[in-house]
Amino acid sequence: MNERLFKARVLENTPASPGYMLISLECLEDIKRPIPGQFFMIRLCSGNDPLLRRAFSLHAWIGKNRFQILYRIKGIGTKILSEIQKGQTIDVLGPLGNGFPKRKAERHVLVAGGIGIAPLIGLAETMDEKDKLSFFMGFRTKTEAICLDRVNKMAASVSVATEDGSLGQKGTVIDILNKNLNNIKSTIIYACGPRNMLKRVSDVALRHAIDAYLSMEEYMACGLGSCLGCVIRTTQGYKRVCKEGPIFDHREIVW
Amino acid sequence: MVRVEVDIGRLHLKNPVITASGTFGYGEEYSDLVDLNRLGAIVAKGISLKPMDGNPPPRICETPCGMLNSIGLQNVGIDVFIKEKLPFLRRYDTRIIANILGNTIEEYVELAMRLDDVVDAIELNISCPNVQGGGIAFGRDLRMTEELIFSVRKAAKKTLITKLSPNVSDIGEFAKVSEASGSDALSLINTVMAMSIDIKTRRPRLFSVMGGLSGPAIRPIAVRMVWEASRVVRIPVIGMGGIMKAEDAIEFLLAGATAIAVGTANFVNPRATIEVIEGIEEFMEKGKIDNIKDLIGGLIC
Ligand SMILES: Cc1cc2nc3c(=O)[nH]c(=O)nc-3n(C[C@H](O)[C@H](O)[C@H](O)COP(=O)(O)OP(=O)(O)OC[C@H]3O[C@@H](n4cnc5c(N)ncnc54)[C@H](O)[C@@H]3O)c2cc1C
Ligand SMILES: Cc1cc2nc3c(=O)[nH]c(=O)nc-3n(C[C@H](O)[C@H](O)[C@H](O)COP(=O)(O)O)c2cc1C
Ligand code: FES
Repeated sequence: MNERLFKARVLENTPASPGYMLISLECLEDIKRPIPGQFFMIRLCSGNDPLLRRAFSLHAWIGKNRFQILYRIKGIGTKILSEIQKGQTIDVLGPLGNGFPKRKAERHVLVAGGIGIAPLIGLAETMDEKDKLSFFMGFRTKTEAICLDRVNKMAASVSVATEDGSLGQKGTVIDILNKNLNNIKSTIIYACGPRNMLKRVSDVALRHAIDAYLSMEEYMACGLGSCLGCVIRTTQGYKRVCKEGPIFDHREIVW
Repeated sequence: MVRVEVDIGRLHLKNPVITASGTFGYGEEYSDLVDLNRLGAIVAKGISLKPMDGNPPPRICETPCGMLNSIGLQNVGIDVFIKEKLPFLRRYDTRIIANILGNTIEEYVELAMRLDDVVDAIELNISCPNVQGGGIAFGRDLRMTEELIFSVRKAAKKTLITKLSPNVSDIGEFAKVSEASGSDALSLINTVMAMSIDIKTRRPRLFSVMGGLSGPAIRPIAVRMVWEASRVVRIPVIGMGGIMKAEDAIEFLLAGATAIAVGTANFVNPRATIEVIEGIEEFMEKGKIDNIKDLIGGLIC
């Protein structure tokens, strides 16, 4: 049986760049293979503080019952996660939610803002037509630019922007997206990043009348659809990010 | 084998462990993680006559040893509940309790009448801190509490449970009035009104500014209130508030609760209910306590 609540052993937990970590996990039970865009809820404390689990997207599947999560150290929960040592076991719930849809197109455009690159790597890896992949990545500064090697190996074209201009173009990922999105017949966008970036990706997609799938975030308690805490506003009323999402068609979102 | 069955009014439970309303969805969400047949009862998410949208996000935030919520009673409404949610729950060998919320006495009465034949018990939510009107507007006023319970009592035959708010100054008074107006049992506590501020943005962490605090942070308040309430009534009390494991549940039983509900713990540990049941049995076996009734109200003081 595929367990959704399982223990996983930490194979490694190492810095990816300052403030970002990559953790590799081996599940101690058989789990359902996650689809890129799906996520896991990790319990970081066996006591009561911090109480709630933390949500992390699948970064990459690395073989039978093994997968990786790429995370940014943000507050107390991710700090605890960053201190977990190789060999320790952690309590994981997942895979949860719906992944990115598998679609055919002339061009697949992946747009990442900061840690938003995390699920897009796994997505790119499972795509069949790597020659049709274009990556657009935005970071604050050069030292935070993660996954560049992996992206360069996979994608047909890669564009990078940093806010301070220390790497690639100076500006935001939307700036470089706007500059390079010509000839966009039969293009699909897949994006993950801060909310205001996703909103602007949606604007771009609307302007060009193309499809875009966005990985949305909201505060979560259960991850299972029971608490109704994680809703976002959509054209069909509130929807739960953990259950109907986290991947949404951009046209659905009411910003 | 230890005996763990308890009775809540005319409702017989195979064990005293119940799910708290709003923390276990409609059961489906947990059916692959928890053997629902093992639960004493399932209390479904609060329902109203018409579907409700609930409050805008952010609706939850984490606080020390707890969380705030202002869901605002988003629910599918009674029609969908009866047509789509109940049939699923009915497949299991457990008791189903509906938690209801109205804006007026008439709405509560209509909800109770329509549910009377299809659920095993009805829990009157007069303590939701997250909706305008209805809910806590009733639960904070002794006369309205009395009138509401009295009216619903006349309309429904099933076991009637009144869910009390901790946001009152004298819980004992509300317990007594509930009993006198015809309630078969009490459920307490609902969440504690609370608030949290992001100091960087100077904004409240919840869209609705205030919300309800739940989780281990409120457990001592809940234990105290269960003790205060159970001392002044003869009807059974269902205790809840921050129960994470069996030891916490036993504390409530000793304080006077006949049954207990697991709420926020379901989010943190989806198997919490099962672990609480097993832990209570283990505690009884070790302590040579044959019948759970020997724990209930067993506080020495
Ligand atoms: C579906 C989904 C997938 C995610 N995938 C990733 C990922 O792959 N890599 C990664 O680094 N981060 C990811 N996040 C964000 C991650 O969950 C938060 O950064 C993390 O919860 C922060 O916890 P903390 O205790 O370190 O921070 P704190 O700020 O101390 O957290 C306080 C509370 O707020 C919640 N919270 C804070 N930020 C967020 C957020 N952005 N989204 C939801 N809840 C939040 C926490 O869970 C906690 O309950 C994802 C979020 C969601 C909803
Ligand atoms: C997200 C959430 C939703 C809730 N929804 C309801 C509800 O619909 N009706 C109700 O009577 N109580 C509701 N409650 C209150 C719980 O049933 C319970 O009384 C309270 O959370 C205290 O228990 P706990 O600390 O174990 O969670 C809700 C609580 C939470 C955290
Ligand atoms: S996190 Fe509980 S419903 Fe989505």
